Amino acid sequence: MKNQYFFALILFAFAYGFSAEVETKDYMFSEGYLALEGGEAYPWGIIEDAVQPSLYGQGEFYYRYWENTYGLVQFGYAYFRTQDYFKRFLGVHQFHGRVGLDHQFSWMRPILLGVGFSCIWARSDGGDPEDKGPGVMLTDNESEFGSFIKAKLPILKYEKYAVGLNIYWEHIWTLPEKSNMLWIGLFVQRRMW
Amino acid sequence: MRIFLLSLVLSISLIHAAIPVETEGMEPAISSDGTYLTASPTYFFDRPSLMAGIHSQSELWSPDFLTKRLLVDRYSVLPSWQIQEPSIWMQVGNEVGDMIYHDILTSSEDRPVNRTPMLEAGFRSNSFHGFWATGRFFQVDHFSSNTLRINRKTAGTMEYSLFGANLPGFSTGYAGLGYTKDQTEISILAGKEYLWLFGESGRWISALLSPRIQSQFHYKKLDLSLVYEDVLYINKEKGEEGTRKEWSGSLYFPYTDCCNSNKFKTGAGLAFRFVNDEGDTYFGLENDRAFWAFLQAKYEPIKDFTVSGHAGMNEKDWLIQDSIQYSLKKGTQTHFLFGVQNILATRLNPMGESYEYFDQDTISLSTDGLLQLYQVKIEFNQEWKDLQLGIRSSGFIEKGAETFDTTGFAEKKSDDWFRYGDVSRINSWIRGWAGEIEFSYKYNDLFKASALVGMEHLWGDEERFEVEPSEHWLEFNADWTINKTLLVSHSLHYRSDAQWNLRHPEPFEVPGDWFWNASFSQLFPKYGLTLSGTLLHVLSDTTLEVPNGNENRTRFFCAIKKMF
Repeated sequence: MKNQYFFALILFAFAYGFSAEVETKDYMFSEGYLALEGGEAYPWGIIEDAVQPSLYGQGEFYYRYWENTYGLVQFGYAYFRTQDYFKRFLGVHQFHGRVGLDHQFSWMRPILLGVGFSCIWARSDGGDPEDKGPGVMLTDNESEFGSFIKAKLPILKYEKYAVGLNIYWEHIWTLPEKSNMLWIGLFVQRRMW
Repeated sequence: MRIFLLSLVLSISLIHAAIPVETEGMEPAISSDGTYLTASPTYFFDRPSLMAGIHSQSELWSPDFLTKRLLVDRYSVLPSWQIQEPSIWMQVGNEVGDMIYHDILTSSEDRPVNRTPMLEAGFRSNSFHGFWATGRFFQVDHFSSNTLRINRKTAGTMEYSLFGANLPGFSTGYAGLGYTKDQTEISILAGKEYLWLFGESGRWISALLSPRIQSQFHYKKLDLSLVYEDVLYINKEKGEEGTRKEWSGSLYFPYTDCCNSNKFKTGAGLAFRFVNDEGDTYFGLENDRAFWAFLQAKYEPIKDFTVSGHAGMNEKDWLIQDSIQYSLKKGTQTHFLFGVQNILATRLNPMGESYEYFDQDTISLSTDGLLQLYQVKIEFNQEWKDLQLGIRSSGFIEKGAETFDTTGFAEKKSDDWFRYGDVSRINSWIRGWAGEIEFSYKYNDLFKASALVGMEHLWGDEERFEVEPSEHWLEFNADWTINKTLLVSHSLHYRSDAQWNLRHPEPFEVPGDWFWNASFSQLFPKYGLTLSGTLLHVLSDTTLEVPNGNENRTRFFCAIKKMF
């Protein structure tokens, strides 16, 4: 992890800490939502040479945490086809999980900005584990954590339902270099309580 | 670096911040206030600041360790079989740096060493008429990649754990039942455990405990524990195998008022081990048994003046540790403490193994003679509203310090060395002085911060010290508690060089290093629920801290816990 992330986290902690006000009303879990989301994930940077953009699907539990802050828990799946030159296996199964917070700043309404942690688990679609060349680690399970920032744009609301757009920049802490991915998806959300 | 330090000073934070570790007992792997060197979750050199003597904390027997795990000749929290509070929990983590899609792009020669995960899940039920059930599976695969190649040959398989193929330092699963009511607590746990023990030779020794059964009984002022372990040692490379059946436990009467006086408290106990070894067990206990009978006493003749200590003995060894402490309080804001401590012992840990068997050599883990250690300690604390200042200093002299006489080495693979020799003593005086200054600041319940700087110097026959400890350390902590439900904690550390002198043909230097830890926790107090994500040992150079050990890498883990 580079120093800039360290500084960014310190700044985040300072800004968040000193801007926060003590809430008197208990909003926690006062609202709960379930959502389904589908979209496309775009490898960004070096890993564009490894895998192609892919469709993804995920489910989400969304809950009210503070007055203008919501928590999210997501699980999803994507199948990333490898680039055509790579013959060892056709693609990679990726499952992901995310936890984080969305916050609605009054000056950005109706857009919500969010941050959180990601965990991905990946395994190749076939491939010979005895061949020690590139891709060998993916023939067994591989997993890594990362962080993300996101923007949520609700487009339509109808009674208990909402439709909108989520955009994520996900930064996975891989080696020899970090991996970046852009995710854009359309969600349908239903308020449960 | 100047900007970097400036940021740190600005972000000065709470000491002993709420940075969680992978699992209880892993604290030394992220500590810097003293000398903490990690080889694996089953081996730490842990010597806190202002500690007297050149040994590490876990080497010296203490009544506090009665129910801790004895690994060869030192005590360890891990693998912990301590009963948890009623809850259900799960944790997953990884040393940061798996390749994922970079795997497709990276040639064999550029591949980083594989990063390893951790996994834990457990529960303890609520009581039903006092009865409860518990179960826990946990293993920390972190700190296992450097030893993988050698340990794979020893185990003869990669499947030497309850889950996965990383040959983790420990892999434990247990379940059991208990009863808690009024002043009575009874529990019995049974499980299976894979362990890698770090011998004084520098070898990693595989041990499969199956079953391990632990029972504990507490009633008012009586604690009983009894443990049975059926241990299988294997070395497939050498075609060796041995078994050990061990019964161990303790009977303990904790401090209680004595002699019709609330100024005088006493306690007493007896710890024991009985083993039955067959085949190649790699360790030996003299006469196949060890016991330790001890007394504790605490006397407070006048307010704030305390004399306390414990003394124990068995057929071969004895140990006395005592201290006198005077505490002076001026108002509620000024606190002064003066203390002296003495240790006289024929062996640091009289319950440890007597021998380690390595090739044709028998390594004696005890020696003749006596350790004498005398320490003087002063502390001054001052509070001004939200600001607190602490100044602490300690000086000690020690003669007869336990060390190791290395008589030769065997090289296993490139720069992995095993040593021959015996535990020995440094029969000359060692002197040491250490000092620490700590500032802490609190802003309502929102923000807490602290900064700690410390230094230490030892004089004596340094070349015979197992470890020459760090001479400087620095620690900054900051905790934010936002809306009472979101905790953001971080701690930044610096530890100066340390050096191992006796486990490697040349002195093995552990370079000084900075590292940073950060944690984010979401609390749901009404629901007893906690979600957390924690980054440990960030920004540091990846170095070996113990010869033949594993690198202390950057790692991340997340946890969910629901209290009942």
